[in-house]
Amino acid sequence: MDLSALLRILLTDQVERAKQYGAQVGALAEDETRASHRDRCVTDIERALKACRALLDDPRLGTGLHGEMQLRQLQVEARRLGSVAFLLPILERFNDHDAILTALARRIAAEGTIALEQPLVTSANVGYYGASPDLALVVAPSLSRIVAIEIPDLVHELLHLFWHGREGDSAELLRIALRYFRQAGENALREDRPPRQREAIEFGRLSWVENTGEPWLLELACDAGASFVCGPAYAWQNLRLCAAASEPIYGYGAFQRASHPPAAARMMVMLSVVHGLELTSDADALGAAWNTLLTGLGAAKPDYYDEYCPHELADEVARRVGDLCADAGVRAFSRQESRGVCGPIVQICDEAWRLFISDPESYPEWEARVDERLRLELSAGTP
Amino acid sequence: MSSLGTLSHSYSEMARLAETLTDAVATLFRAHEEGMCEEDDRRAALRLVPLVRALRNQLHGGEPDTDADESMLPPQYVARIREARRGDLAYLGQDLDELASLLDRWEGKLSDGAIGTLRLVTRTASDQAASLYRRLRRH
Repeated sequence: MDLSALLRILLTDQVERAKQYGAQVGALAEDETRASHRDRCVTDIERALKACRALLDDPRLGTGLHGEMQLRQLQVEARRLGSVAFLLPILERFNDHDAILTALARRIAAEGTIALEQPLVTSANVGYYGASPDLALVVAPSLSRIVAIEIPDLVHELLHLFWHGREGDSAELLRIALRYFRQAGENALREDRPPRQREAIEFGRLSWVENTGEPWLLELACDAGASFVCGPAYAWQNLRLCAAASEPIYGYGAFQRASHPPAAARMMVMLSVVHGLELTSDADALGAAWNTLLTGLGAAKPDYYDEYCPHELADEVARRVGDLCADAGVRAFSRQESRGVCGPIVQICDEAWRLFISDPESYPEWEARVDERLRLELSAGTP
Repeated sequence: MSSLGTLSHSYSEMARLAETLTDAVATLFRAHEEGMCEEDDRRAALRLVPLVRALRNQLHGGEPDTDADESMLPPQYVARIREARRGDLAYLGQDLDELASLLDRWEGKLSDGAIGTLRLVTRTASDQAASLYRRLRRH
Protein backbone atom coordinates (compact mmCIF):
# COMPACT_ATOMS: atom_id res chain seq x y z
CA MET A 1 0.00 0.00 0.00
CA ASP A 2 1.47 3.37 -0.92
CA LEU A 3 1.15 6.55 1.14
CA SER A 4 -1.56 7.91 -1.10
CA ALA A 5 -3.79 4.87 -0.50
CA LEU A 6 -3.07 4.88 3.22
CA LEU A 7 -3.91 8.57 3.51
CA ARG A 8 -7.14 8.01 1.61
CA ILE A 9 -8.25 5.36 4.11
CA LEU A 10 -7.27 7.44 7.15
CA LEU A 11 -8.91 10.59 5.84
CA THR A 12 -12.11 8.75 4.99
CA ASP A 13 -12.16 7.43 8.53
CA GLN A 14 -11.95 11.00 9.89
CA VAL A 15 -14.71 12.18 7.56
CA GLU A 16 -17.00 9.41 8.81
CA ARG A 17 -16.17 10.23 12.42
CA ALA A 18 -16.92 13.88 11.82
CA LYS A 19 -20.31 13.00 10.33
CA GLN A 20 -21.11 10.78 13.31
CA TYR A 21 -20.15 13.47 15.83
CA GLY A 22 -22.19 15.99 13.84
CA ALA A 23 -25.25 13.76 14.25
CA GLN A 24 -24.60 13.47 18.01
CA VAL A 25 -24.31 17.24 18.40
CA GLY A 26 -27.49 17.67 16.40
CA ALA A 27 -29.32 15.38 18.82
CA LEU A 28 -28.32 17.43 21.90
CA ALA A 29 -31.12 19.31 23.59
CA GLU A 30 -30.68 23.02 23.03
CA ASP A 31 -30.10 25.11 26.11
CA GLU A 32 -28.28 28.31 26.84
CA THR A 33 -25.77 26.85 29.30
CA ARG A 34 -24.30 24.40 26.82
CA ALA A 35 -24.72 26.62 23.75
CA SER A 36 -21.13 27.88 23.47
CA HIS A 37 -19.66 24.38 23.84
CA ARG A 38 -22.14 22.99 21.37
CA ASP A 39 -21.17 25.72 18.89
CA ARG A 40 -17.50 24.94 19.50
CA CYS A 41 -18.15 21.30 18.54
CA VAL A 42 -20.04 22.32 15.40
CA THR A 43 -17.22 24.64 14.33
CA ASP A 44 -14.53 22.03 14.95
CA ILE A 45 -16.47 19.34 13.09
CA GLU A 46 -16.98 21.63 10.11
CA ARG A 47 -13.31 22.63 10.04
CA ALA A 48 -12.16 19.02 10.20
CA LEU A 49 -14.61 17.94 7.51
CA LYS A 50 -13.52 20.74 5.20
CA ALA A 51 -9.81 20.05 5.71
CA CYS A 52 -10.11 16.27 5.28
CA ARG A 53 -12.26 16.60 2.17
CA ALA A 54 -9.82 19.09 0.66
CA LEU A 55 -6.99 16.64 1.21
CA LEU A 56 -9.01 13.79 -0.29
CA ASP A 57 -9.66 15.92 -3.37
CA ASP A 58 -6.00 16.81 -3.78
CA PRO A 59 -4.53 15.00 -6.81
CA ARG A 60 -1.09 15.13 -5.16
CA LEU A 61 -2.25 13.16 -2.14
CA GLY A 62 0.71 11.29 -0.65
CA THR A 63 3.15 12.23 -3.39
CA GLY A 64 6.51 14.00 -3.42
CA LEU A 65 7.11 16.50 -0.67
CA HIS A 66 3.41 16.57 0.19
CA GLY A 67 3.01 13.19 1.87
CA GLU A 68 4.50 14.00 5.25
CA MET A 69 2.75 17.36 5.62
CA GLN A 70 -0.55 15.78 4.59
CA LEU A 71 -0.10 13.12 7.26
CA ARG A 72 0.60 15.84 9.79
CA GLN A 73 -2.45 17.79 8.62
CA LEU A 74 -4.47 14.62 9.13
CA GLN A 75 -3.10 14.44 12.70
CA VAL A 76 -4.19 18.03 13.35
CA GLU A 77 -7.73 17.18 12.27
CA ALA A 78 -7.76 13.87 14.16
CA ARG A 79 -6.83 15.72 17.36
CA ARG A 80 -9.48 18.34 16.67
CA LEU A 81 -12.10 15.62 16.32
CA GLY A 82 -10.65 13.78 19.32
CA SER A 83 -11.38 16.83 21.45
CA VAL A 84 -14.94 16.88 20.16
CA ALA A 85 -15.23 13.20 21.06
CA PHE A 86 -13.97 14.05 24.57
CA LEU A 87 -16.48 16.86 25.04
CA LEU A 88 -19.55 15.16 23.56
CA PRO A 89 -20.32 12.71 26.38
CA ILE A 90 -19.90 15.54 28.89
CA LEU A 91 -22.50 17.55 27.00
CA GLU A 92 -24.76 14.53 26.64
CA ARG A 93 -24.81 13.65 30.34
CA PHE A 94 -24.90 17.24 31.61
CA ASN A 95 -27.16 17.18 34.68
CA ASP A 96 -28.71 19.53 37.25
CA HIS A 97 -25.66 19.41 39.50
CA ASP A 98 -23.40 20.32 36.54
CA ALA A 99 -25.75 23.18 35.74
CA ILE A 100 -25.51 24.55 39.29
CA LEU A 101 -21.71 24.27 39.36
CA THR A 102 -21.52 25.92 35.94
CA ALA A 103 -23.76 28.75 37.13
CA LEU A 104 -21.57 29.11 40.24
CA ALA A 105 -18.39 29.34 38.14
CA ARG A 106 -19.92 31.86 35.79
CA ARG A 107 -21.19 33.95 38.70
CA ILE A 108 -17.72 34.00 40.28
CA ALA A 109 -16.25 35.13 36.95
CA ALA A 110 -18.91 37.81 36.51
CA GLU A 111 -18.64 39.15 40.07
CA GLY A 112 -14.84 39.21 39.89
CA THR A 113 -14.90 40.64 36.32
CA ILE A 114 -12.59 37.82 35.28
CA ALA A 115 -12.68 37.83 31.49
CA LEU A 116 -12.75 34.26 30.24
CA GLU A 117 -14.55 32.04 27.80
CA GLN A 118 -17.85 30.89 29.37
CA PRO A 119 -16.81 27.82 31.33
CA LEU A 120 -18.72 24.58 31.55
CA VAL A 121 -18.33 22.62 34.78
CA THR A 122 -18.77 18.89 34.81
CA SER A 123 -18.95 17.00 38.07
CA ALA A 124 -16.96 13.82 38.04
CA ASN A 125 -16.46 11.02 40.46
CA VAL A 126 -13.04 12.27 41.51
CA GLY A 127 -11.89 14.05 44.63
CA TYR A 128 -10.20 17.01 43.00
CA TYR A 129 -10.79 19.98 40.74
CA GLY A 130 -9.20 20.27 37.31
CA ALA A 131 -9.46 22.42 34.20
CA SER A 132 -9.06 21.87 30.51
CA PRO A 133 -8.76 25.43 29.25
CA ASP A 134 -8.41 24.23 25.65
CA LEU A 135 -12.09 23.22 25.95
CA ALA A 136 -13.19 25.91 28.46
CA LEU A 137 -14.01 23.03 30.75
CA VAL A 138 -13.69 22.59 34.51
CA VAL A 139 -13.92 19.24 36.26
CA ALA A 140 -15.26 19.32 39.82
CA PRO A 141 -15.78 16.59 42.39
CA SER A 142 -19.21 15.11 42.40
CA LEU A 143 -20.60 16.59 45.61
CA SER A 144 -24.06 16.46 47.06
CA ARG A 145 -23.69 20.04 48.32
CA ILE A 146 -21.73 23.23 47.74
CA VAL A 147 -18.85 23.33 50.21
CA ALA A 148 -18.16 27.02 50.81
CA ILE A 149 -14.60 26.60 52.10
CA GLU A 150 -13.66 24.66 48.94
CA ILE A 151 -14.95 27.21 46.44
CA PRO A 152 -11.45 28.79 46.14
CA ASP A 153 -10.35 25.56 44.40
CA LEU A 154 -12.91 26.26 41.71
CA VAL A 155 -11.54 29.80 41.41
CA HIS A 156 -8.05 28.38 40.84
CA GLU A 157 -9.37 26.37 37.89
CA LEU A 158 -11.07 29.46 36.47
CA LEU A 159 -7.69 31.17 36.59
CA HIS A 160 -6.34 28.45 34.28
CA LEU A 161 -8.98 29.54 31.77
CA PHE A 162 -8.12 33.18 32.38
CA TRP A 163 -4.39 32.79 31.67
CA HIS A 164 -5.16 30.59 28.72
CA GLY A 165 -6.97 33.51 27.14
CA ARG A 166 -4.07 35.86 27.86
CA GLU A 167 -1.16 34.30 26.02
CA GLY A 168 0.98 37.44 26.13
CA ASP A 169 0.67 37.67 29.90
CA SER A 170 1.57 34.06 30.54
CA ALA A 171 4.56 34.43 28.18
CA GLU A 172 5.66 37.48 30.16
CA LEU A 173 5.53 35.52 33.40
CA LEU A 174 7.62 32.76 31.83
CA ARG A 175 10.15 35.36 30.73
CA ILE A 176 10.43 36.67 34.29
CA ALA A 177 11.36 33.19 35.52
CA LEU A 178 13.73 32.57 32.60
CA ARG A 179 15.53 35.83 33.27
CA TYR A 180 15.76 35.12 37.00
CA PHE A 181 17.29 31.66 36.62
CA ARG A 182 19.63 32.76 33.86
CA GLN A 183 20.96 35.53 36.06
CA ALA A 184 21.23 33.19 39.05
CA GLY A 185 23.11 30.67 36.89
CA GLU A 186 25.55 33.31 35.66
CA ASN A 187 26.15 34.54 39.20
CA ALA A 188 26.75 31.00 40.46
CA LEU A 189 29.26 30.37 37.69
CA ARG A 190 31.07 33.64 38.28
CA GLU A 191 31.24 32.99 42.02
CA ASP A 192 32.40 29.43 41.44
CA ARG A 193 29.60 27.88 43.48
CA PRO A 194 29.51 24.06 43.88
CA PRO A 195 28.29 22.13 40.82
CA ARG A 196 25.26 20.73 42.71
CA GLN A 197 24.12 24.25 43.50
CA ARG A 198 24.40 25.24 39.86
CA GLU A 199 22.49 22.11 38.88
CA ALA A 200 19.74 23.06 41.33
CA ILE A 201 19.41 26.46 39.62
CA GLU A 202 19.14 24.70 36.27
CA PHE A 203 16.56 22.34 37.77
CA GLY A 204 14.61 25.45 38.84
CA ARG A 205 14.65 26.81 35.29
CA LEU A 206 13.53 23.51 33.82
CA SER A 207 10.76 23.07 36.41
CA TRP A 208 9.38 26.59 36.32
CA VAL A 209 9.61 27.13 32.59
CA GLU A 210 9.77 23.86 30.60
CA ASN A 211 8.82 20.80 32.60
CA THR A 212 7.50 18.94 29.52
CA GLY A 213 4.09 20.52 29.34
CA GLU A 214 3.62 21.29 33.01
CA PRO A 215 5.67 24.38 33.84
CA TRP A 216 5.33 25.19 37.54
CA LEU A 217 5.04 28.84 36.73
CA LEU A 218 1.56 28.47 35.24
CA GLU A 219 0.33 26.63 38.31
CA LEU A 220 1.83 29.31 40.54
CA ALA A 221 0.26 32.05 38.41
CA CYS A 222 -3.13 30.41 39.00
CA ASP A 223 -2.42 30.24 42.74
CA ALA A 224 -1.48 33.89 42.77
CA GLY A 225 -4.52 34.83 40.69
CA ALA A 226 -6.88 32.84 42.90
CA SER A 227 -5.41 34.56 45.97
CA PHE A 228 -5.87 37.92 44.28
CA VAL A 229 -9.56 37.13 43.70
CA CYS A 230 -10.39 35.23 46.92
CA GLY A 231 -7.98 36.81 49.40
CA PRO A 232 -6.79 34.67 52.31
CA ALA A 233 -9.52 32.04 51.79
CA TYR A 234 -7.52 30.46 48.97
CA ALA A 235 -4.38 30.07 51.10
CA TRP A 236 -6.40 28.67 54.00
CA GLN A 237 -7.90 26.07 51.69
CA ASN A 238 -4.39 25.21 50.45
CA LEU A 239 -3.24 24.77 54.04
CA ARG A 240 -6.22 22.50 54.72
CA LEU A 241 -5.41 20.39 51.64
CA CYS A 242 -1.72 20.18 52.54
CA ALA A 243 -2.54 19.06 56.07
CA ALA A 244 -4.75 16.28 54.73
CA ALA A 245 -2.69 15.20 51.71
CA SER A 246 0.41 13.09 51.98
CA GLU A 247 2.66 14.84 49.42
CA PRO A 248 5.84 16.20 51.02
CA ILE A 249 5.37 19.93 51.67
CA TYR A 250 8.76 20.77 50.12
CA GLY A 251 8.33 18.34 47.25
CA TYR A 252 10.71 15.55 46.35
CA GLY A 253 13.94 17.50 46.27
CA ALA A 254 16.03 18.87 43.45
CA PHE A 255 16.62 16.80 40.34
CA GLN A 256 13.38 14.83 40.66
CA ARG A 257 10.79 15.93 38.15
CA ALA A 258 7.36 16.79 39.59
CA SER A 259 4.24 17.95 37.78
CA HIS A 260 3.30 20.41 40.55
CA PRO A 261 5.41 22.93 42.37
CA PRO A 262 6.04 22.04 46.03
CA ALA A 263 3.19 23.06 48.32
CA ALA A 264 5.59 25.31 50.22
CA ALA A 265 6.40 27.27 47.05
CA ARG A 266 2.72 27.64 46.35
CA MET A 267 2.06 28.94 49.85
CA MET A 268 4.96 31.37 49.47
CA VAL A 269 3.25 32.89 46.42
CA MET A 270 -0.16 32.99 48.13
CA LEU A 271 1.20 34.71 51.22
CA SER A 272 2.97 37.22 49.05
CA VAL A 273 -0.33 38.08 47.31
CA VAL A 274 -2.20 38.36 50.62
CA HIS A 275 0.50 40.77 51.83
CA GLY A 276 0.15 42.69 48.55
CA LEU A 277 -3.57 43.04 49.21
CA GLU A 278 -2.56 44.74 52.47
CA LEU A 279 -4.28 42.11 54.58
CA THR A 280 -1.34 42.00 56.94
CA SER A 281 -3.01 40.43 59.97
CA ASP A 282 -4.51 37.71 57.72
CA ALA A 283 -1.08 37.05 56.22
CA ASP A 284 0.46 36.87 59.69
CA ALA A 285 -2.22 34.44 60.93
CA LEU A 286 -1.76 32.30 57.82
CA GLY A 287 2.02 32.35 58.12
CA ALA A 288 1.83 31.30 61.77
CA ALA A 289 -0.60 28.45 61.01
CA TRP A 290 1.60 27.34 58.12
CA ASN A 291 4.70 27.27 60.32
CA THR A 292 2.79 25.26 62.90
CA LEU A 293 1.87 22.74 60.22
CA LEU A 294 5.49 22.53 58.98
CA THR A 295 6.76 21.98 62.50
CA GLY A 296 4.02 19.47 63.24
CA LEU A 297 4.90 17.48 60.13
CA GLY A 298 8.61 17.77 60.78
CA ALA A 299 8.98 19.10 57.23
CA ALA A 300 12.54 20.02 56.27
CA LYS A 301 13.77 21.77 53.16
CA PRO A 302 15.70 19.47 50.82
CA ASP A 303 19.21 20.49 49.87
CA TYR A 304 19.38 23.52 47.59
CA TYR A 305 15.62 24.08 47.87
CA ASP A 306 16.05 27.87 47.90
CA GLU A 307 17.99 27.69 44.64
CA TYR A 308 15.09 26.20 42.71
CA CYS A 309 12.22 27.71 44.71
CA PRO A 310 13.60 31.19 45.43
CA HIS A 311 11.56 33.49 47.64
CA GLU A 312 12.57 36.49 45.56
CA LEU A 313 11.11 34.99 42.38
CA ALA A 314 7.90 33.93 44.14
CA ASP A 315 7.45 37.53 45.32
CA GLU A 316 8.13 38.90 41.86
CA VAL A 317 5.62 36.52 40.25
CA ALA A 318 3.02 37.36 42.90
CA ARG A 319 3.51 41.08 42.31
CA ARG A 320 3.38 40.80 38.54
CA VAL A 321 0.30 38.56 38.61
CA GLY A 322 -1.43 41.19 40.74
CA ASP A 323 -0.53 43.88 38.20
CA LEU A 324 -1.62 41.78 35.23
CA CYS A 325 -4.92 40.86 36.89
CA ALA A 326 -5.58 44.49 37.78
CA ASP A 327 -4.72 45.60 34.23
CA ALA A 328 -7.16 43.01 32.90
CA GLY A 329 -9.89 44.46 35.12
CA VAL A 330 -10.04 41.55 37.56
CA ARG A 331 -11.48 42.67 40.89
CA ALA A 332 -8.98 42.34 43.74
CA PHE A 333 -10.28 40.88 46.98
CA SER A 334 -11.25 43.45 49.54
CA ARG A 335 -13.14 42.45 52.65
CA GLN A 336 -16.65 43.85 52.82
CA GLU A 337 -19.08 44.15 55.65
CA SER A 338 -20.74 40.81 56.33
CA ARG A 339 -23.92 40.06 54.45
CA GLY A 340 -24.16 36.55 55.81
CA VAL A 341 -24.94 34.02 53.14
CA CYS A 342 -26.13 36.64 50.63
CA GLY A 343 -23.02 38.46 49.48
CA PRO A 344 -20.73 37.95 46.49
CA ILE A 345 -19.27 34.44 46.34
CA VAL A 346 -15.72 35.41 47.34
CA GLN A 347 -17.07 37.25 50.39
CA ILE A 348 -19.02 34.11 51.33
CA CYS A 349 -15.76 32.10 51.02
CA ASP A 350 -13.96 34.61 53.21
CA GLU A 351 -16.69 34.50 55.82
CA ALA A 352 -16.80 30.70 55.60
CA TRP A 353 -13.11 30.49 56.41
CA ARG A 354 -13.24 32.96 59.26
CA LEU A 355 -16.11 31.02 60.81
CA PHE A 356 -14.44 27.68 60.14
CA ILE A 357 -11.33 28.82 62.01
CA SER A 358 -13.04 30.64 64.87
CA ASP A 359 -15.96 28.30 65.46
CA PRO A 360 -15.59 25.01 63.53
CA GLU A 361 -18.50 23.40 65.40
CA SER A 362 -21.07 25.89 64.18
CA TYR A 363 -19.64 26.02 60.65
CA PRO A 364 -21.52 23.00 59.19
CA GLU A 365 -24.90 24.52 59.94
CA TRP A 366 -23.86 27.80 58.34
CA GLU A 367 -22.51 25.93 55.31
CA ALA A 368 -25.82 24.12 54.91
CA ARG A 369 -27.59 27.47 54.75
CA VAL A 370 -25.10 28.71 52.14
CA ASP A 371 -25.66 25.57 50.10
CA GLU A 372 -29.43 25.90 50.26
CA ARG A 373 -29.41 29.58 49.38
CA LEU A 374 -26.89 29.29 46.54
CA ARG A 375 -28.62 26.30 45.00
CA LEU A 376 -31.87 28.18 44.99
CA GLU A 377 -30.34 31.29 43.44
CA LEU A 378 -28.17 29.48 40.91
CA SER A 379 -30.88 27.12 39.70
CA ALA A 380 -33.25 30.07 39.30
CA GLY A 381 -30.57 32.04 37.45
CA THR A 382 -30.65 34.81 40.08
CA PRO A 383 -27.51 36.93 39.87
CA MET B 1 -0.98 13.23 39.28
CA SER B 2 -0.46 15.69 36.45
CA SER B 3 -1.68 19.22 36.41
CA LEU B 4 -4.55 19.02 33.96
CA GLY B 5 -4.89 22.81 33.61
CA THR B 6 -1.24 23.41 32.86
CA LEU B 7 -1.04 20.44 30.53
CA SER B 8 -4.09 21.62 28.63
CA HIS B 9 -2.64 25.12 28.33
CA SER B 10 0.65 23.75 27.01
CA TYR B 11 -1.13 21.41 24.60
CA SER B 12 -3.24 24.13 23.17
CA GLU B 13 -0.22 26.39 22.63
CA MET B 14 1.70 23.59 20.93
CA ALA B 15 -1.30 22.47 18.85
CA ARG B 16 -1.73 26.00 17.53
CA LEU B 17 1.95 26.20 16.62
CA ALA B 18 1.87 22.77 14.96
CA GLU B 19 -1.19 23.71 12.93
CA THR B 20 0.27 27.04 11.82
CA LEU B 21 3.53 25.41 10.77
CA THR B 22 1.94 22.40 9.08
CA ASP B 23 -0.48 24.48 7.02
CA ALA B 24 2.12 27.04 5.99
CA VAL B 25 4.79 24.46 5.16
CA ALA B 26 2.31 22.35 3.16
CA THR B 27 1.47 25.45 1.11
CA LEU B 28 5.13 26.27 0.53
CA PHE B 29 6.03 22.71 -0.47
CA ARG B 30 3.18 22.74 -2.98
CA ALA B 31 4.29 26.07 -4.37
CA HIS B 32 7.90 24.87 -4.56
CA GLU B 33 7.00 21.71 -6.47
CA GLU B 34 4.79 23.58 -8.88
CA GLY B 35 7.21 26.50 -9.21
CA MET B 36 4.45 28.96 -8.34
CA CYS B 37 4.65 32.29 -6.57
CA GLU B 38 1.10 33.32 -5.75
CA GLU B 39 -0.22 35.73 -3.16
CA ASP B 40 -1.46 32.94 -0.84
CA ASP B 41 1.97 31.33 -0.90
CA ARG B 42 3.67 34.62 -0.15
CA ARG B 43 1.32 35.10 2.82
CA ALA B 44 2.18 31.62 4.10
CA ALA B 45 5.89 32.42 3.78
CA LEU B 46 5.53 35.73 5.59
CA ARG B 47 3.51 34.10 8.37
CA LEU B 48 6.51 31.93 9.13
CA VAL B 49 9.13 34.68 9.21
CA PRO B 50 8.47 35.92 12.79
CA LEU B 51 8.31 32.34 14.05
CA VAL B 52 11.62 31.44 12.47
CA ARG B 53 13.24 34.61 13.83
CA ALA B 54 11.80 34.02 17.30
CA LEU B 55 13.15 30.47 17.24
CA ARG B 56 16.57 31.69 16.22
CA ASN B 57 16.59 34.27 19.03
CA GLN B 58 15.33 31.90 21.68
CA LEU B 59 17.73 29.14 20.63
CA HIS B 60 20.71 31.38 20.94
CA GLY B 61 19.67 33.88 23.56
CA GLY B 62 17.46 31.51 25.52
CA GLU B 63 14.92 34.30 25.87
CA PRO B 64 13.03 36.35 23.31
CA ASP B 65 13.86 39.99 23.00
CA THR B 66 11.05 41.61 24.97
CA ASP B 67 11.30 44.81 22.95
CA ALA B 68 10.87 43.06 19.62
CA ASP B 69 7.37 42.36 18.44
CA GLU B 70 7.71 38.63 18.32
CA SER B 71 5.87 35.80 19.89
CA MET B 72 7.45 33.67 22.57
CA LEU B 73 7.61 30.09 21.39
CA PRO B 74 6.82 27.43 23.99
CA PRO B 75 10.11 26.92 25.89
CA GLN B 76 9.80 23.13 25.73
CA TYR B 77 9.57 23.34 21.93
CA VAL B 78 12.76 25.36 21.76
CA ALA B 79 14.41 22.91 24.15
CA ARG B 80 13.43 19.96 21.92
CA ILE B 81 14.89 21.63 18.83
CA ARG B 82 18.05 22.44 20.76
CA GLU B 83 18.27 18.81 21.79
CA ALA B 84 17.74 17.58 18.23
CA ARG B 85 20.57 19.75 16.92
CA ARG B 86 22.79 19.78 19.99
CA GLY B 87 25.94 19.07 17.99
CA ASP B 88 25.52 21.81 15.41
CA LEU B 89 23.51 24.61 16.98
CA ALA B 90 25.64 27.28 15.36
CA TYR B 91 24.81 25.85 11.92
CA LEU B 92 21.15 25.70 12.81
CA GLY B 93 21.29 29.41 13.66
CA GLN B 94 22.72 30.06 10.21
CA ASP B 95 20.09 27.82 8.60
CA LEU B 96 17.32 29.71 10.37
CA ASP B 97 18.74 33.06 9.29
CA GLU B 98 18.88 31.87 5.68
CA LEU B 99 15.37 30.45 5.92
CA ALA B 100 13.95 33.68 7.35
CA SER B 101 15.55 35.69 4.60
CA LEU B 102 14.35 33.28 1.86
CA LEU B 103 10.79 33.40 3.22
CA ASP B 104 10.91 37.16 3.58
CA ARG B 105 11.64 37.57 -0.15
CA TRP B 106 9.59 34.56 -1.24
CA GLU B 107 10.07 33.72 -4.92
CA GLY B 108 8.42 30.31 -5.08
CA LYS B 109 11.51 28.13 -4.58
CA LEU B 110 13.02 26.45 -1.54
CA SER B 111 16.61 25.29 -1.22
CA ASP B 112 17.33 21.76 0.06
CA GLY B 113 18.58 23.29 3.30
CA ALA B 114 15.37 25.29 3.72
CA ILE B 115 13.27 22.16 3.14
CA GLY B 116 15.25 20.32 5.81
CA THR B 117 14.90 23.16 8.31
CA LEU B 118 11.17 23.50 7.64
CA ARG B 119 10.76 19.78 8.18
CA LEU B 120 12.65 19.92 11.47
CA VAL B 121 10.63 22.79 12.93
CA THR B 122 7.31 21.31 11.78
CA ARG B 123 8.02 17.74 12.87
CA THR B 124 9.13 18.88 16.30
CA ALA B 125 5.98 20.93 16.89
CA SER B 126 3.73 18.23 15.47
CA ASP B 127 5.31 15.44 17.53
CA GLN B 128 5.17 17.50 20.70
CA ALA B 129 1.54 18.41 20.14
CA ALA B 130 0.78 14.71 19.65
CA SER B 131 2.64 13.76 22.81
CA LEU B 132 0.90 16.40 24.95
CA TYR B 133 -2.45 15.46 23.46
CA ARG B 134 -1.99 11.82 24.47
CA ARG B 135 -1.09 12.78 28.04
CA LEU B 136 -3.96 15.24 28.26
CA ARG B 137 -6.72 13.01 26.99
CA ARG B 138 -5.57 10.04 29.04
CA HIS B 139 -5.98 12.09 32.18
